[in-house]
Amino acid sequence: MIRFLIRRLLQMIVAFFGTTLLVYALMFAAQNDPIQALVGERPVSDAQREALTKQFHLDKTGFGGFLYRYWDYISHLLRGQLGTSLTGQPVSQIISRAWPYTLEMAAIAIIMVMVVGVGAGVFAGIHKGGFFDNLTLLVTLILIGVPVLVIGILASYLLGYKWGIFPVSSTDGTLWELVLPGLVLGSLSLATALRLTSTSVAENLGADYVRTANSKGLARSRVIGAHVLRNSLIPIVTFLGVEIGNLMAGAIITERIFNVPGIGFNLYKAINTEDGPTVVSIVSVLVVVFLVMNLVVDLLYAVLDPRIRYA
Amino acid sequence: MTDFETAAASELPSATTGLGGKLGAPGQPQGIDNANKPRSLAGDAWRDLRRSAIFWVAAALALLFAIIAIFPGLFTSVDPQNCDLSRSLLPPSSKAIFGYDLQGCSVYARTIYGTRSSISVGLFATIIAGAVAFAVGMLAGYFGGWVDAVLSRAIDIVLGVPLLLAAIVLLRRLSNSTHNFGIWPVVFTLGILGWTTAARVVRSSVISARQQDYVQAARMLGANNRRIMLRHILPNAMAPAIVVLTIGLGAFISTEAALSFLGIGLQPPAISWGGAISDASARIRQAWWPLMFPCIFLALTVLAFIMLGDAIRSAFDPKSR
Repeated sequence: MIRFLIRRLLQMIVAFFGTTLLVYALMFAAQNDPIQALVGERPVSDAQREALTKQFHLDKTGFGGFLYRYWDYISHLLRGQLGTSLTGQPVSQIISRAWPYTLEMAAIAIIMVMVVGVGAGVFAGIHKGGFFDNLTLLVTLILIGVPVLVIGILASYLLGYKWGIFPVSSTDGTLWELVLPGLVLGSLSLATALRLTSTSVAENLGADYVRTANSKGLARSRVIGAHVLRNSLIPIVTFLGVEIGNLMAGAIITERIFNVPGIGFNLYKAINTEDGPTVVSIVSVLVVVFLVMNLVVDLLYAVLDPRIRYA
Repeated sequence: MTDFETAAASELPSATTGLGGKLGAPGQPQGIDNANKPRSLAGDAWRDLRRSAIFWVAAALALLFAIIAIFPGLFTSVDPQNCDLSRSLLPPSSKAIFGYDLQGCSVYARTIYGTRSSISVGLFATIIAGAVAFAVGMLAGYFGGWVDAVLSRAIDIVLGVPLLLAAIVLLRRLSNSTHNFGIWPVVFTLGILGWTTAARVVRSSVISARQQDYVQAARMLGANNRRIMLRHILPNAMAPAIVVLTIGLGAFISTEAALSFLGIGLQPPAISWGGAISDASARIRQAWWPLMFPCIFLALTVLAFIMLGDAIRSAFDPKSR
């Protein structure tokens, strides 16, 4: 277990430096005037230019200069210093204010995925090839195939404007206003989790230990609840963990559609106001969240499935 | 799309000779079984596909959208750039069956012409992603060792950043110039970031094909690495990679719409569904038609390619049989 842990942590460190270097390089690759690019289309005064040159260590040139700046960015990121936006507001403050909305939306999405996705998946897996199984195959195909953008727009138009079941935008930040955005956000994960559960349950139902449990005379509910479900849940837990990271990225679209002032909405705002430092900081934070979730899932996987530990 | 599919179709028969060992992973004997039967794996898959309603619906939709993209003039005689503010937000009528948008442009004409941008972005991004995926997957799988270690870590790193996030950062960079390069910044961004899943698929196909007897035989006959890779191993990696890339094409179109919706994808005067949806969603209280028709086209196009990939994959998956 310890060796697995150490190996996994080392891999995570490599991935962390790799991904942050990628984001950083994307941000500053192929540009002529980094300062102009940073502030966008607006004019820059000489004093601003000098201050920014110093702030970003642009006086150092060449590949060494690039690495120096990257290291500067990383060390600030690691110490939790995310810098200030072009409007002078600390980025960490923007993020801490927006975080609860995105987190609540993601929580609603995950709860829905666990209850509806796993529940329907187990039912479909037990009755493989039945009517319900075929119905879920079709429904999940549509959920996977129709872009979240369209699902969100249709949901906000029909359930929000037309029938008035849900509020259409988040104005006073109550949980109720985040329910519809959360459901839309989780729709793709729901479909994937449902398919994963149903395949996994159907596969495990044919396993030797299920035959043993059945021949021992165990009740069917106990065979399914205690044996099949527990073993089927391993891949689903993994999936859910990775999906939390993906939900953060998916929130950009959903929050824009429903005007939720979360992380994604602030990222969108920063892009449109050409606020470079805020964009890089938010994306970096999201990437770190994504990486940490991957690590947690791998460790959880090792706890749940002993075969991984000794492999 | 058409080039790609004909390429896939022409490679499929040759792929089957090697696929027996690959697809029935524990089923090496199953592969030998298959070879004795008159029906090959591709034959089986085709037999399954022919009976699949989803496959035919998806193929028909994909073909329809491809035709619309190539000959938009066949479907509308209205110029999509011909806008008149006096017609702003007029509802659907016999003159414009989808009505007019805020600028007074025909929603129908703009939706039809938007097909071309979306399909071109998806197609060209898939070609770039496919080329990178085949190169990386082939080198990593064929040479193994440190080449594989380095390339696999590179795949992990690119996969470590969600596609939409990385695309936002890169596009911001590319679109900062004063020139308007049309669809190419989006194509380049999606292609250069979206190859990882396909590369993994190619790599694992190559690894299993490398062990086959006929590859050893070719090597003993004196074939060089390039010949072995292109003639004997590439056809094996073709079918599974095409499936992933077909689904990827749908995902690229969806991502392009999302990027344009956020205002950083295709820029006007390029006509894009995502941009139209973004403009119209602000006016939803006044008019639903500029919003719904691009939405329906976008949903059907993405759905078509993802269903197509899904149907082919399940036909080629012996477990589902």
